Amino acid sequence: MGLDFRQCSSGIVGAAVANLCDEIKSPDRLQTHEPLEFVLSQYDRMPDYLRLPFKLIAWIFDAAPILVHGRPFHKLSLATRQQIFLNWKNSSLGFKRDFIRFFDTLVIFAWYSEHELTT
Amino acid sequence: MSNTITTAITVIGSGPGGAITAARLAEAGRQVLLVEEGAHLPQGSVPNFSLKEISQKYRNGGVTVGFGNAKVAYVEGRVVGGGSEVNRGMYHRIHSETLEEWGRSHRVDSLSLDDLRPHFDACESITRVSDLPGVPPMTSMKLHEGAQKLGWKSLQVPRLVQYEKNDDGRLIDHKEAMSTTWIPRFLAAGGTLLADTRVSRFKQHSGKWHVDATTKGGQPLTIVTDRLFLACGAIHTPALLRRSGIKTNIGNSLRFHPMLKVVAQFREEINLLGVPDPVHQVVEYDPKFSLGSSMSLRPLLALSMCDHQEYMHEVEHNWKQMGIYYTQTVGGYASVRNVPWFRDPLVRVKMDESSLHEVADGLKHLCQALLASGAIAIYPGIAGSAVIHSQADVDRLPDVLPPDKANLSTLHLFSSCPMGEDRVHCATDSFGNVHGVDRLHIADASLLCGPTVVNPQGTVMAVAHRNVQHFLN
Ligand SMILES: Cc1cc2nc3c(=O)[nH]c(=O)nc-3n(C[C@H](O)[C@H](O)[C@H](O)COP(=O)(O)OP(=O)(O)OC[C@H]3O[C@@H](n4cnc5c(N)ncnc54)[C@H](O)[C@@H]3O)c2cc1C
Repeated sequence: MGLDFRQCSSGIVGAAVANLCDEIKSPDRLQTHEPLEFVLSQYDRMPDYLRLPFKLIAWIFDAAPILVHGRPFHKLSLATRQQIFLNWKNSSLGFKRDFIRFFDTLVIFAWYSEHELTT
Repeated sequence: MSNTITTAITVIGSGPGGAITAARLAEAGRQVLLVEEGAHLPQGSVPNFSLKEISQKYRNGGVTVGFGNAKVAYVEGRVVGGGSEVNRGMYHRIHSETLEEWGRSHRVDSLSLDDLRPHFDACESITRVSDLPGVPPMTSMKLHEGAQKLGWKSLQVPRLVQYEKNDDGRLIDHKEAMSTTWIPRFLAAGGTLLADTRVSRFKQHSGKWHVDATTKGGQPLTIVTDRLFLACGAIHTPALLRRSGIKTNIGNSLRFHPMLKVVAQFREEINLLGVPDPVHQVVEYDPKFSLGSSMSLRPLLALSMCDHQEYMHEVEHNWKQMGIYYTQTVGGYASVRNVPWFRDPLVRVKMDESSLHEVADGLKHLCQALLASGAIAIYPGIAGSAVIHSQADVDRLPDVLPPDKANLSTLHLFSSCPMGEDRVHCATDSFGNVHGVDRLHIADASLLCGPTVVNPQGTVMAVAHRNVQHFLN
């Protein structure tokens, strides 16, 4: 199975933004365009030796739910994606936490930067 | 086919070390080519600490991490002017005790504060340093007040900026970056700047250096030069040397100032838009650790609250009551290595127990100062850590920072190719000439023999100035 990195990232960014909006009780601000573009461009800029392992983890992350849910991550409902995102975020395994942290920090920064410009 | 440029002197890297070296050489009438991987962008072309700045001016978009028993995120400028274009320009002259220590540990000749004074003076006459006129911002004052209540020494630090009042009476600062100071001097003296050009390696051939580079469009370029000055910064200078086969004492001893941030929340509004950058640093515990306050724009606050997302609603509704603060220490060791078949160098970090203890100690003192100035909640940059509300909470903080949970970062990197006469540890002699290699010099933060304790740019500039004057004399 191949990995469409954009699709997978879009699923993760959607979950990250939804979790953020839940925290700040602002369900009407689920814009993901700017955070997604920022995540993708930061992926392109990251040190080259990190890109391959990162993509591999993305592939595992996207494919793992097939065993339980019968679909890859990016095709799951938003609520299920949010739950899986949080499971990885709070995992005892460092690589899972680091993977989610990459998305979380970029999404939060991009989301607030965009929001700052529009308020 | 590769284009070829021939020149007498080539300086690689246009940060504070490279820009000053290149300018002084050009002013002395030498034919100088200054090569820089990043773009030549006007200062102020994008807002500080914005998405655009990160995309345009930071190496790897700022996604750079040192790996080891702790992860340490670091950032570097990659633009004409290097780090000086993206930093806050907090300015110090180095303490004489630090220089004395370097003199002893690395046997560096002529490096007392008296030796460096004329070079500090010369650099400061061009890259001007200013005290903040008027009252500092509240975020800054809060740290200062807390320190004062505890009887700790706190300073208002000058910055490499020029302050000016704009039409509506607001104080704005103009950065004294390399692109507005030394680079224009270099160009006026007849130097040639080649931006958007990355050097991959160099070798000696028939008494000349042959430098392999690639321009922005991917076009290969060869520079043939009599003399080479390397100023790619503390990570990329050793990486370039090692790729070029020069490895003795290169990249083994990278040092940095590990930093841990917290967000502090107060009852009153302290974080106002349109005020100058914070300027206070608490130096009571130098050289073990210092405390400071950071820019606290809302996106940065949100980022710093990443470990406490359950409190993100506070950023949403009460961000004006919140500020970002940090403790910065001097521990931490690292090495720089190239990874076969890859372009970007790998930084391997070692934070030993005493380094982790120092950061934990700094964190406790930072919380203490913030509580003393009325903080009602402090959110440390440690995953899963409790929010601090009282001294009892501070006492419960760990004595040794948990390396896998703490979000350490650094802005200050140095010492990867130290200077000195001790050939067992040093890459260059006391003036930046690479040991055992003719006509090859290092001219940046890599040369410093250890942590500067204070913000490093002033020392990088003064040492580069001292070394280039020594060369010209
Ligand atoms: C965000 C930030 C905030 C900071 N805040 C402060 C502060 O407030 N006060 C302070 O004193 N210091 C601060 N610093 C540190 C300070 O900026 C550095 O100490 C200083 O810039 C180091 O100068 P340098 O010449 O050694 O290297 P750099 O400034 O890193 O310059 C090196 C240059 O070389 C170029 N280069 C690298 N490799 C190649 C190559 N292969 N080919 C061509 N070009 C190459 C790079 O693109 C870069 O422009 C900060 C740094 C950062 C990043």
